[in-house]
Amino acid sequence: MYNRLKPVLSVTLAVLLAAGAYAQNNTPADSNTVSASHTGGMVIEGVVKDAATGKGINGAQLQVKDFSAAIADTLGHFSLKIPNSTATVLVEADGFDARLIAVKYKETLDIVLQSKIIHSFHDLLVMPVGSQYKKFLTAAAEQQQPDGWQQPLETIDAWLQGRVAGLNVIRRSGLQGAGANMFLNGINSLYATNKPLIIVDGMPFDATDYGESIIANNYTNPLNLIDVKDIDNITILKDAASLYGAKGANGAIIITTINAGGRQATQIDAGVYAGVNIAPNPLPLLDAADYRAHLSRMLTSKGMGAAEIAAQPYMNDDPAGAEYYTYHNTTNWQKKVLDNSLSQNAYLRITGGDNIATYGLSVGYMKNSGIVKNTDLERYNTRFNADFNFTEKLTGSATLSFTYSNQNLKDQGIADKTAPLFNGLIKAPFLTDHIVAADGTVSPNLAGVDMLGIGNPTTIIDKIEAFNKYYRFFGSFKFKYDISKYFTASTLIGLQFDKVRESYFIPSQGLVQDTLWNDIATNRMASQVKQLFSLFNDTRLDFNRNFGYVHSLKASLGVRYQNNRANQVNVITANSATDDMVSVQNGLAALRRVGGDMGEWNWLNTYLAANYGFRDKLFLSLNLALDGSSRFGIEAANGLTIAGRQFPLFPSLSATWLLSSERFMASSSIDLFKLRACYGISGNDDIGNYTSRYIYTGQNLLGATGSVRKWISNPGLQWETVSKLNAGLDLAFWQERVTLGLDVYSNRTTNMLVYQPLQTVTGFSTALTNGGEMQNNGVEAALNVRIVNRRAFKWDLGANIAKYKNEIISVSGSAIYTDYAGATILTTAGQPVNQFYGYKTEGVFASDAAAAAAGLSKENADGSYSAFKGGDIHFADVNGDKIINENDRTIIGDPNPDFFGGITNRFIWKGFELNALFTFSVGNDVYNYLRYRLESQSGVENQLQSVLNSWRTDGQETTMPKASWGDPMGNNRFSDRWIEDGSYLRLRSLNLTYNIPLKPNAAFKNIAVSLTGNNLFTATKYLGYDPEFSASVSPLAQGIDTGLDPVFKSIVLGLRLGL
Amino acid sequence: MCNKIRKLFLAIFSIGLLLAGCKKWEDHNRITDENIALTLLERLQANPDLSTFTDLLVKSGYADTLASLKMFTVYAPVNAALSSITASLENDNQALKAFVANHIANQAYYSDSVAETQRIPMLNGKYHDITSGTIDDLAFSSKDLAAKNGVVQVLSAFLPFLSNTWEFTETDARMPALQKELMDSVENLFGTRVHNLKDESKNFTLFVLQDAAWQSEVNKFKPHTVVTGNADSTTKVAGWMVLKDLAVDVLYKSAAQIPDTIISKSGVKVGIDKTAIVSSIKTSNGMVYVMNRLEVPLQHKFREIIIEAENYTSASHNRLTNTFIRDKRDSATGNIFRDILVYNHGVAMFNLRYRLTDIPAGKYRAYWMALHDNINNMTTTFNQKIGVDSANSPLPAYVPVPLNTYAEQLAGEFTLTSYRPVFNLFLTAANSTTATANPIVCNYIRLVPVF
Repeated sequence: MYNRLKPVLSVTLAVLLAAGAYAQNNTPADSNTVSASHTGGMVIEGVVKDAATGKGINGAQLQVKDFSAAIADTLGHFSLKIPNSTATVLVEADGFDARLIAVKYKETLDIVLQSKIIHSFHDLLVMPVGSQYKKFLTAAAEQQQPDGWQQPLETIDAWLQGRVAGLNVIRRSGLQGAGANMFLNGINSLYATNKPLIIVDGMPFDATDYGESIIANNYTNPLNLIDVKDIDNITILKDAASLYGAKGANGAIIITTINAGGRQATQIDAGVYAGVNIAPNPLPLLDAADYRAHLSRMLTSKGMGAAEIAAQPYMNDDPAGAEYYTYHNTTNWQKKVLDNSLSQNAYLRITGGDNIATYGLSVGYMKNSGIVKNTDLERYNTRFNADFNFTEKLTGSATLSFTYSNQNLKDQGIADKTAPLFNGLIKAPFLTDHIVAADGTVSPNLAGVDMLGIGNPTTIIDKIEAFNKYYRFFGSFKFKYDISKYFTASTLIGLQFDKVRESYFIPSQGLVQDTLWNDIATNRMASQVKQLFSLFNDTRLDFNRNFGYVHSLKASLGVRYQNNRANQVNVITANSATDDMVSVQNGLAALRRVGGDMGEWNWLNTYLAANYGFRDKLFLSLNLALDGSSRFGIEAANGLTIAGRQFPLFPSLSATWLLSSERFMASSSIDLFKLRACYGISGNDDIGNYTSRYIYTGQNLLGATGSVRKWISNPGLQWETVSKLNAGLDLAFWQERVTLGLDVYSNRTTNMLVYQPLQTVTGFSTALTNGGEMQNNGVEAALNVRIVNRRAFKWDLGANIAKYKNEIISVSGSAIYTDYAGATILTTAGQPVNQFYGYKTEGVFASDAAAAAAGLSKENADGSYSAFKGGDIHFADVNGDKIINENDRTIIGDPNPDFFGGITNRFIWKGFELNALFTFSVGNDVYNYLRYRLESQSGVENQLQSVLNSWRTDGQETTMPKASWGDPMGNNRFSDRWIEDGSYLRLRSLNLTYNIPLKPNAAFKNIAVSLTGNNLFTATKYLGYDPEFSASVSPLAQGIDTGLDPVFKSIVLGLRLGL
Repeated sequence: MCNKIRKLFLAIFSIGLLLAGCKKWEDHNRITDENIALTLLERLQANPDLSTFTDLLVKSGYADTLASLKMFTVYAPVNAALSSITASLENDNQALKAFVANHIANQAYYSDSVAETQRIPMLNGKYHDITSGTIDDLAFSSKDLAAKNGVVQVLSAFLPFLSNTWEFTETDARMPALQKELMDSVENLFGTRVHNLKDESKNFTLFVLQDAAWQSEVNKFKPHTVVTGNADSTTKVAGWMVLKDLAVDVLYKSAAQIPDTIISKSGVKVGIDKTAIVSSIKTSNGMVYVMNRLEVPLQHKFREIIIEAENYTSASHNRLTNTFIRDKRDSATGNIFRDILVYNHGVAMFNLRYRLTDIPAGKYRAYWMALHDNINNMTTTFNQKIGVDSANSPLPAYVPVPLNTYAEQLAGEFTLTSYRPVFNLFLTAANSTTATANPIVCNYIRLVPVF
């Protein structure tokens, strides 16, 4: 441990010593210049008014920072000393948004303050180093202040959906806590991460799910460990993330959790919530009677004779038959696996302190059941944040959080034998879940695998055991020493440690048995442990000075170091003696497979951030980072060579001109007019821990164990380089009731990781290289309007919209074809990164004659050709050779939206507050894998009602091809039949809160009752449970509905008490 | 408590949530062909040209069946086709049911899905032959009227409800008396040994002899079917000899289709003189041809009998350790054969018994193939003989087995004076206990009738 800490400590010490040495040279006079007023300058007078009423605000506070301060009188009049006529006055008043007013040579100021507006340019944003007013920012960044009290069960990634222009948040599934994939400003990488860097209280929060879950398609989402109510504010940094060097390519999300905010009075907030999660409407499947007709069609197509089919027990309609009651039910299997469920949440937060220390602490409990029966998520979260004043100059802070979650899961997505939802869809509706006697008596015992070879969904719900237990400690200590008035040194040491423990058991009864390579698995069991340990230090020296209130300079020089270790161990085995023996040690030793992974990586980041301001209207920022990483190849190019290793330099330069603070706009009605430009280079170090190294892996050859090369190492492997050019415009007018932000950006990823195809003689099919290049351009806008601004009634409307266009410049080889869930995804130059690549269809051949006229055929496995006939799909013969094969594939869809965003709406009327958030995504194509399975008519599975239209007779005009066992003609191949428009408009959340009016001396400070509905309404043409899903973090797997548990509606009733 | 909360919540919010109607699904699942939404009965009722058949359906009770959701094919005759038969069905409910059910099959047979001729069962148990456009050679006048639970094929004529071939022989007046009489008496035997003419799922062709032709044919075989002291049995066995070769499981729809010679199930060549066909009758499972002459020569009827020596029924003594079943290559033909050798058994006149059945009376010449390939380095020959009815019957006599001879040898002659339902043949070793003198070796014995 000491060895690990050594570099951290030595760097920290060096910086502190240097800072200390510098401080000695300062004159003591400089260190106590803070006073209420300065000599020199001039006096300005004016009035501060409430925008809603037009009346003066009594007690409004005005100040020129570090220069002067004043308080307005009862009518709002004030007089304030200012250093010069280009100064900026900060005006604050209780219940109002603060405002920064540029004097602009005026002699009187007529200041109007708005009550709290959702997005104000005067917000103080937490930036990578220090805080800055949004008005003076050179970067494209914005702040969100989540009101977790209104949406208590959200994870923070999902909460951000629809709120930030350019942040495309796609929820992974309806699984509790699954969260969302976030793409900020488009797609920047093919195989490395596209997730923004997440910083919580100054320390990177590792939000990656390392290693696969042993529970099918489960994603362990670390962000679920943060209670939204614990979050004070979030800064979304879209560019100028160069400061994070090789981790800044996708921007950053900077989360600040609760603190006392300098208030020493004790504030206690408690909330209790109860809610109901509403199962989605069932898909329209065939009912028992229609299914039986469909099944007999399928069996005929299989080649069974009429007598044989008539002899099947489900065809015998004689109630005296021994199996009549087994095969004559009308079961809605979807209702057997999906059900409404409850959620509970309790939360307590206390903030307060004294002049030595202030603190914020919280504890929370949540239990949220899933809409798939027997799934739930239980979470216990604690947090303790504190700020200390050790001495006048030495301050410190601690942020400590520990969260434990326990999740009861089921398989989901593509897991044909074990996923409850999928089995609930395909199971024959004429069966029931319990054994039925000849006289119709229902046994309490569950039915086994049916004669059609499909398992019992109720058994899956009741008997499969899949648990995920997860805890994480995330904490840091920070010390800050004010060396002088201008210099500050600080260091932060933090630790995150987490452990995921999963166990999994599949019983033998009632489920289709799995085939292992050397046995038939009756029951199966698995266990997995994943651990992450991460140590972080950020030590820096800050300089902050303004020169005569004309020039200001803020600069920081620092170094960050992070050491990470992750490991994963899993055991998978099968065939324990009975279904009561569920743990892995009971499985057969011969079937036991033990696997795992270990990784260790280090990151060293030296950075310089310098912000220069001129008369609070012109700003320049320079960010520089010099990164070292254990992941970079030793022969990587494009970096500075230090001690034989490569250190890439990531600079960014940004500038802002606040035109509205210029004299020529002094009389303009435009409150704020600002132009921004930023160019920066940042990197993506998510290239794998050891991909540049020589690695050996175990290999079995005829019973002997040996080691072979795992891959062809590429010592030249380097970070991906992302160059970002961003230009923006911010506008506010109508007393800042209207604010508008507009950004255009152009990102170019070079050295992009690609798998280079290799010659066969190498023994490997691919090698990882930096051979790709990608361009990502976009535009985004955010508009917020306070439409009605009366004392009793306020209406805020906001909208944000974004569009990106992604284009591959080059990949090694001509194209990359990725197969996923039966789809082929094309990545090729000149096209967006992820294109659905398949067959175009032109309907169904109505007759044999029509098919013969088209003259199309397909090649069979044995080299013979089969002609398409009536009832087959008419695939477009793109290359005109009359043979339908892979050369006829073309681009059939694009999962990237044309545009996406959100609309926020807030009404405040007396004690009532109504918030509505709509989200939308338009023009994104979706591959409906689930519908492909439910309309393929190639087996005994139950299907959608649409197959009633399937082609039967020569000359029948229909869109549904004929039922054919095993689909010999490939009518169900990946084609535009399965591509749908995934556009949607959704009422993402609707919240009504009533703040009960209380007398000033009441027992409670405040009582609020809130009612929240999530996903209440979704307008979409998508033929599935829900158009929103994200099967993987990879951009290549977006827009593919693999049948994960769907996003669902929920309603939560809450009570919040303040003491 | 939980349930109460749940109920309360659901009551409050379910109304609001119902608003999300599923219009998109309605569009997607809309039935494109209205007819597919109709049941077969509705589909038939909608067609005025099928009203008579629909009426019959309703009357017979099969309408309910067609309204259920199992798959059927209805072969519906048009009104005009039924005018001649409705009267006869009016008062006979059983006939009506049989008639209607004769037009309905389980499962949907679209014309497209029938690639080659299939024989499919109807609800009344009868079968019809269908091709993509015909049923029992009757072309569909209108085809593939699809419905929710099946398909309608329209016919210009009805499908008559016919007896099957066996019922014909039992009940039909056109059946000549003598052959009918015999067939009655051997019903089970005929069903198991020849063809089950009651099986509706197959097609048969049966040749029926008029009484005179029958009598002359029976008389011809009588000398070979002598049952001592029982003239009736003699006649009956002769009749069986005639009858067993008169049915084949091939459908010859017309005289023109019948080849000159057919091979019966027992392998007898039966020459058919088409000019001798008096009439032909269609049955539900085939054709019956009435013949005024059908003569099968004796040498066709009585075929040689080949007995594989290793398939003996019993041995006179347990000498399994001395018994060798050998696989040998015939140096003349190059083929592999399997024979039996019993060597060093130490029993005088050791013998193997072969149980034969249905052996007609007459003279037989016996041949065998016996390979004495220097058994156990023997250089001398040995004798063995064929025994008739007993191991040491006087005739045929012992015959020496020559060395290394693959060719067939004459083993002797014998005569049977009566028809033998069961007949024992023996292969007997020399009357010696010396190993080199008393082996038995034989590949097969061939009995050739001599006329």
